[in-house]
Order: sequence, then structure tokens, then C-alpha cells
Amino acid sequence: MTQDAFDRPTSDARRPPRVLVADDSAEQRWTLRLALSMMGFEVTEAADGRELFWAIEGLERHPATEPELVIADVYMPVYNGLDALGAWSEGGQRHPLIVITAFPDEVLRRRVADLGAFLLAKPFKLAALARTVRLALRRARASSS
Amino acid sequence: MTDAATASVRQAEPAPSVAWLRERLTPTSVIPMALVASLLIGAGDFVTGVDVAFTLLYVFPIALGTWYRDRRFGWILAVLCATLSAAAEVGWRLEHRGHVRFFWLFWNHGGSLGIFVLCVEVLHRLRAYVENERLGRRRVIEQLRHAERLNVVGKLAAGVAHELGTPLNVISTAAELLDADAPASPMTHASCRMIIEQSGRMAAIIRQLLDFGRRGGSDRSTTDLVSLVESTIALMRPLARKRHVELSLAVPKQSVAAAVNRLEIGQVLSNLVLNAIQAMPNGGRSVVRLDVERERGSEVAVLSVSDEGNGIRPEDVPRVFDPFFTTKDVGEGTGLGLSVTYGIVSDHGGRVNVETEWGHGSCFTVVLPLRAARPSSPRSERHRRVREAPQDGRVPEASQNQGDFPDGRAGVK
Repeated sequence: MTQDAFDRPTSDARRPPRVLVADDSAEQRWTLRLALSMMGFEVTEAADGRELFWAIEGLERHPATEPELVIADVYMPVYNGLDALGAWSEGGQRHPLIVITAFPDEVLRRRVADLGAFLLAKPFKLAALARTVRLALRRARASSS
Repeated sequence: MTDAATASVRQAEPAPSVAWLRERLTPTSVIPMALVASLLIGAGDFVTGVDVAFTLLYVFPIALGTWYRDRRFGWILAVLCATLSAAAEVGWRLEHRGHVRFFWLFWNHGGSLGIFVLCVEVLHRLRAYVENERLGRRRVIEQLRHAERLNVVGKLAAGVAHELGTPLNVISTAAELLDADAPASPMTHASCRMIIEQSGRMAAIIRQLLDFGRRGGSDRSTTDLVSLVESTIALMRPLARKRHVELSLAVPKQSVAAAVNRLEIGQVLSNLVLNAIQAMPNGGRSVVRLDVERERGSEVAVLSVSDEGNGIRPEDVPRVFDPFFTTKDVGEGTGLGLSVTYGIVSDHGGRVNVETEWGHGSCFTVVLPLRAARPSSPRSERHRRVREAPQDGRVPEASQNQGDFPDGRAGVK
């Protein structure tokens, strides 16, 4: 938790990288916001699948030089997280994605792998979250450069 | 009555003298035989002048005895009745006519005895048939009821696990955040550690519940069951040695290929072996056996694990696969091992049986289909469901909701 926003490049030092957190549980969003802001990220939130969809739209409208991370729960009202993410990934938009779920089964794993996302099973340790975030950002940087 | 019935079912070996007759006695062949026999008896009665009703009078108690007691009892009655009627006729003839025609006696009462024994045999077979049918039906109903109950419990378990996953995650993350907050007192630190540790324990139970409750869709690949069994048993040997349990293994020489999830079937086997080891606290012998058998025209792998422990109490047998049901000491098991086993095996299209005798150990048998492995891809799963849908124009539930998971769980809360 002492790390700054992981491997932040010096050119864009003033603005912390953004993370979009989508989960229907307010408490879950709160803990994620706390944890991620301790890691040095700026956090925006979405409470259901529809908000997630439009929030990604927002990220698209104001593109940053940095890849922006999306962390989404699977089971959410309106659209499920995977469907919302799937809709964007079909449009060729590539944000690093982390899917969190309390219900990791093989079907879900396959769908997450098809999205090119990372899967994080609830309950997870903060160390695991940090590791996954770092991995996702590193992969996105490697593919963009 | 029930005891006598089961006793007669168990007494399957016929007496050697009537084996020939027994083979030929079927519900259809009996009718012409009975007709011929009663014609013969009628002819005998006509010649000797003895009433046919006399014979019928004896048939009734013999039939009653055979139906409600057993075959041997019916035979005793038959011989008794034939002897009595012969004796009565001898007495009657001696008194009224002063002489006995032995040929007529033989003809008449020999014939009656034949009819009586035939009646005993027919009723015995009928009774056994009815009883078998009744037991079979009861067994099927029991199995269905059990499967249905486990299905409901599985859905409940999955629902509970899913709903608890998020709050549990919030708790453990919050505790970690609190713990990471710099100037914490030692007590805060210890409490946070405890919260994290205990929620980890709950998470482990939830994972197992999910394993029990999930339906469909684990990745399968063609696996050699022989090598899978051997490697799993090799992993269990150190524990068995520590508990003074002798693990013996009997597998076919050639490989047995099946489309299974290697990890899951390994988990099934290690659960069963672990149970066997724990069932024998004073040591003993456990036999793990893998066979290939034919069942209803297709090949199945039969994997069995037996122990020499105390067995399972008869009243506990129907509950062994229920989640959280355990007879182990506190701390030895969560009561989820067999539930997970059941979940995995039925997910593979197989079944788990248990044979046990209180005081003499148990044997768990896993039957897995070898050829017709269930398709595990979401697409074929959905197609299968559509095919199985009733043909009345209704759209099956699973295909209405494209966002849903193929196992029918709603994709959107």
C-alpha cells in the first residue's frame, strides 16, 4: 500500500492515473476506492452495468496518454459486467480490465479470458489486488508501445 | 408381513428338485399347465367320485400360506393337505366299501399334490415379482427425492455463497486497510489479522459450497484415469502411512481414457481416500479399485474406495452427501467433502453410490461415463437445453436470456 500508482511515467506526473470501479455494492466500491487511492490512483465509480457502460464512454471521450484501468464486478443490475465490457471490447477499445467476482467458475473464466481481462476472485487480499493491477497495467503498456 | 416378504425375496435359490419346473414356470406358461392339470384332476375326480370342491378347499390355505409366509411353508401345507385328503379317502372307503383301490388313490391325490405344489410355486414367484417391483420403485423414488433435495440444497448453497462473497470481501479488505493504516496499536494489528484470517476461512468454505452448487461447464480433456488414480494415491500414501492405514490399489493394466477434469476427479478421489483413512483411527486397510464395466450398452469407469472402519449408521446414510453433514470430530472436517464429490461427479454425468454396513466399513463407488462425455462448451450446452425443451411452442428459459450463464443462473441480478 506504500507503492505509488504503479510505475507511473514521469511525463504525466501531475495527473494520477484513473481507475474505474464498477460494483453494485456501495461498501465494496468504498473499500476499493480506499485501497486504490492509497495506491495512488484517481477512482471513479459505477454502480451498475449501465453506469459502467457510460463511464467507459466517458473514458473514451477524454482519452489520456495513460491506459486507464477498469475494475468491474460480474453480477450487477441492468447489464452484467461482462456484457458491458464485452460491448466495448467488440468496438476495439482496449482498456486493461480486471473482473472481480464471488462466483468464479469455468464458464466465467473462459469468458474473462476471451475478453483478455484478469480475473480476481472475491474475497481477495489487497496484495493480490495490487499484483493484478500492476500486471494489467504492465500488459496494457506493453501492447500500446 | 414385510419381514416374511423380504425373506422370500432373499431366498432366491430354488430347491434342486424343482429347478427344472421353476425355469419353465412363467406367468404365461402357467395358465395352460393349470388347465391341463385341473382337467386331469377333474377326470380323476370323475372316476373316483371325489368332489373337485374338496381339492379347491385345500388350495385356499396353501395359497394364503405361500403368499403371506414363504414357499417352504406352502409346501408343508400342500403335503399336509394331500396326506390328509388321502387319509380321509382311505378311511371313508374302508368304512363304506371295505376296500381301497391304490391306483385311484395315487391318481387322485398325486394329482392334487402336483396342483398344490404348482400353486405354491406360482404364488411364490408372483409374490417375489411384486415385491421386487415394489422395492425397485421405492428405490427409484428415494434416489429421485435425494437428487432433487441435493439439487435444491446446491442452488441454495450457490446463492448463499454468491451473496456472502461480496460482504466478506468488504470485511477483509477493510480490515487490511485498517491494518495498513500506519500508527496502529498492537491490539488493532492483532484484531485486524484475526478478522483477515477468519474471513479467509469463511472464504474457503464458500469456495467449497460453490464447488458443490455449480452445475455444468468445467474444462474437460481426455485423461488416463489409471495414471490419475495412481498419482493421486501416491500423494495420499504419506498420510495413510502416518495413520497406519494400508492403501492397496487395483487398476487395469491398460489405460482408461475418459473426458474429465483432471483436477476435479483427483479431488474426488482424494476426498474419498481421506474419508477412508479418517474412518479407521486405529489403522486398517483401504482398497482403491478402478474397473471398466458395461452398463446399458455403454462403457463406464467404476472407481471404488473401501475401508474397514465403522461404517455409516443406517439413519445417516441418506444424509452423507448433504452439505455440512459430518460425523467427524470437530476440526476434522467441514462436512463438505462428500458434497463436493457429489457435485463434481454429477457434473461429469456420473453418480456416487455408497454401500455400508454399520460396524463393518463402507465402500464408496464413483461411476463415470467413458464415451458419452457431456459437452461442456456453453454453445452446445445451450443447444442441448433447447433440444430438451417441451414441444409446445414455449421458449426454454435458458435461451430467452442471452446474457445468462448456460447453467440457468441469471446473469443479471
